[in-house]
Amino acid sequence: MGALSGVRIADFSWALAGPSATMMIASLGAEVIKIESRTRLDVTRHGPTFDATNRQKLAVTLNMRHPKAIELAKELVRKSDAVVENFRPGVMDGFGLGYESLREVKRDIIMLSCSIAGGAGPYARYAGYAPLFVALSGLGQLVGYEDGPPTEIRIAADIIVGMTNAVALLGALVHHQETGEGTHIDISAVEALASMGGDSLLDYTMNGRVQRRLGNDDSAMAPHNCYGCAGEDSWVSIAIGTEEEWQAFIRAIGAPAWTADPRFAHGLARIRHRAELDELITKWTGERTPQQVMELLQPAGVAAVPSYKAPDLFGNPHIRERGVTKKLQKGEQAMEVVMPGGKLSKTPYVIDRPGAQMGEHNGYVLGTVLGLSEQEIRDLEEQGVLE
Amino acid sequence: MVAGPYCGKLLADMGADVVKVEAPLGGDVARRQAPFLNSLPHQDGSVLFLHLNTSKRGIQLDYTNPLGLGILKELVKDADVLVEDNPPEVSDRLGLRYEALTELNPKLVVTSVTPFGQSGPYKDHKAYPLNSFHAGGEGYLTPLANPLSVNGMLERPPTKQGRFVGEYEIGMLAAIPTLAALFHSRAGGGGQHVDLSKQEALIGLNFLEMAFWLIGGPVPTRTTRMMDIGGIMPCKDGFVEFCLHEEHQWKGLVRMLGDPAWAEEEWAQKPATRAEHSGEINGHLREWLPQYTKAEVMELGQQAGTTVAQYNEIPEVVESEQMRVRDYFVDVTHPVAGTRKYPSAAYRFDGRPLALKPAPLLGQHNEEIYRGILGFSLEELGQMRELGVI
Repeated sequence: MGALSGVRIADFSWALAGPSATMMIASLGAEVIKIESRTRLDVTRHGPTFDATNRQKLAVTLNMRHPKAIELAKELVRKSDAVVENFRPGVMDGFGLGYESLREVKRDIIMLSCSIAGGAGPYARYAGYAPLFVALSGLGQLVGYEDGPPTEIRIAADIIVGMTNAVALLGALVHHQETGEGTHIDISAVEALASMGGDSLLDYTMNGRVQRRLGNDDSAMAPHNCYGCAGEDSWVSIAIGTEEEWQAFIRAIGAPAWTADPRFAHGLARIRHRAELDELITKWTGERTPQQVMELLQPAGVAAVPSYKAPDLFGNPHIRERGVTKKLQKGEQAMEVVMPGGKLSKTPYVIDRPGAQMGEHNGYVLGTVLGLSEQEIRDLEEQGVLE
Repeated sequence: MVAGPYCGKLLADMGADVVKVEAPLGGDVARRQAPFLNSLPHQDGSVLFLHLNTSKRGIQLDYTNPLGLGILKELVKDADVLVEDNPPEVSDRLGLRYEALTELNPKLVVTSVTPFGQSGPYKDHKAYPLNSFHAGGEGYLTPLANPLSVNGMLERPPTKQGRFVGEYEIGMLAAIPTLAALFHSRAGGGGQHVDLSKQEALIGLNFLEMAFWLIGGPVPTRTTRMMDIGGIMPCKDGFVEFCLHEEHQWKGLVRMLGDPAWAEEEWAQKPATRAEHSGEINGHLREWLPQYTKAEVMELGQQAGTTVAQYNEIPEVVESEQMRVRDYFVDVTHPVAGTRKYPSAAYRFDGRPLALKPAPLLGQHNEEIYRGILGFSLEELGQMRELGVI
């Protein structure tokens, strides 16, 4: 029983940006039917990421080159609340499944189309993956060191687009619930990424100021960085925002002589001398693990948190108590998957189905949802409609 | 600080009636954050505040004061959703617990955004956006190494992303269960509590990174995930990104480089052997690139059929034909900040860009809400103001 029980999604999406969105929707209790074809495989189908991105979904196979498959797709849409796709613009139209055609089948259908540029503008004709969209969005320029090149964002970028898709889809579902109206949502992956630097964009349109990457620097705080700790590639993040926190920090580290230096007497001075400040702090953190630094500073009211690497992230006592993974059984294999953020008190995220085999739910979708007989389904198989 | 308001912004910009509750004196701390419009500190001039609070109505209310808390509870009776980002011990102390609020309004969805959630040994730990980003594990993997920067990379600290990328991500990840819970409530399911730990939101965002490790892969670090062929490369006037996954994109790359002789070699015909020669291939690319601007590389590359894009700087994004055609930047008129172009959203509903409204002045909608909705008289408003409640 999830928050979106009763909602059905016809999911034509593939790769990561679409499927990660529909995975969230499925985890919220909606019935998501993933439409695939052996004639054109999802790039992730036989890779290690498939289960993580496509768990919770039902799987049906439809060979979109066959006219009968298009008819079935339309019937499925008639029984669905929303359609999700992330093909290049024009592909769904080419199938005869564009928004206008789908509206004829179901007047209040919600359709979400995600592509690099939202279907308009010079970027619409470009091919690419998330790292390219990051480059075009300006976001890459905001990440990295001041004296270094822009930074690539790879997997996370696809998921950022996916989460943007999920927000829009949920907004449309709520709107439909209120008004009975469907909509065509078109989403630009480049804009989804640009939006992650929204206030930086606004600083340019308002003040003509071009913000760029600054490592961990903050314009109003010092100390504000990651500091090297004992151990290989081991870091702790420390941020101090008030004079009170600075005084508490000094006391917590045993008030070494350098903390009385006028260079560090107040906020502005510390920002000006942050390079020296950081070096001196590193002498202290360098003798301790990130965990030890956190345990010494947090009781003093100082924000110190390790820059967690995977084993410490999943192994630390807080996460172990909160629980962020769930075990899923896939045949003989047990796998651990990461849960989406957010604990809902009444309708928690549902995580109980691994990624389905291709066509695993043909019987259910075609038989139960669309009402076809077993013979009709066998005929379709023979005709290659369910390839 | 940023994530909670951003969650509210997402809902407001999509048309929800979002009422922002601010402390009577000074308002939201973001009002005091630089940069400011024209570099003039002003409570209605903070770029961050103006961005995060578009389309919201605004009232002043001190709900740490028992009288103020009473007023908040009145407001909550008619609300669908409450979004708050108080530390758990503060919510506890004030009686802002979900259990108390649900008695007033069983349909209410309460979304609490905190660094580490409402339970667990770290729930009262302090975290600024920098700390939350590193708490979630993505910090450790940033910046992603590439052949240009990999030497000595691990001696430098891992970083956050941009100013508030992590916070915007968290805001979206808060909006998702909030909207779902709203849908559920309106379907008759009643309200519920959404306990959004910023740390867990970011762990969830990085589920794929972690998936590799969870199935027994190596511990991901900044250097374990470098692309072998391509990635970020410098050219005449900036940087471009090559990201190849399919055979036809490789063929396009070869075409772009003018079908050089080395591409005819045995090892260049199959992906597996190509990967072994990635250093050599990248070397050829780096010889070719300095002759061309990033725009030229993108055009030539895409025409030839490979997957390459230029790294735009912010001005190039804002001034691009692409953004103009899509109306991604929309005019918003604010009484103090004037009319400026604001980034809207990546989504269009039925082809229309979102119609953003300006962020509220401090207490701009006090009358509208206190008199209009709660029925306070002018005298009562005056008394509340004097007491510092509003």
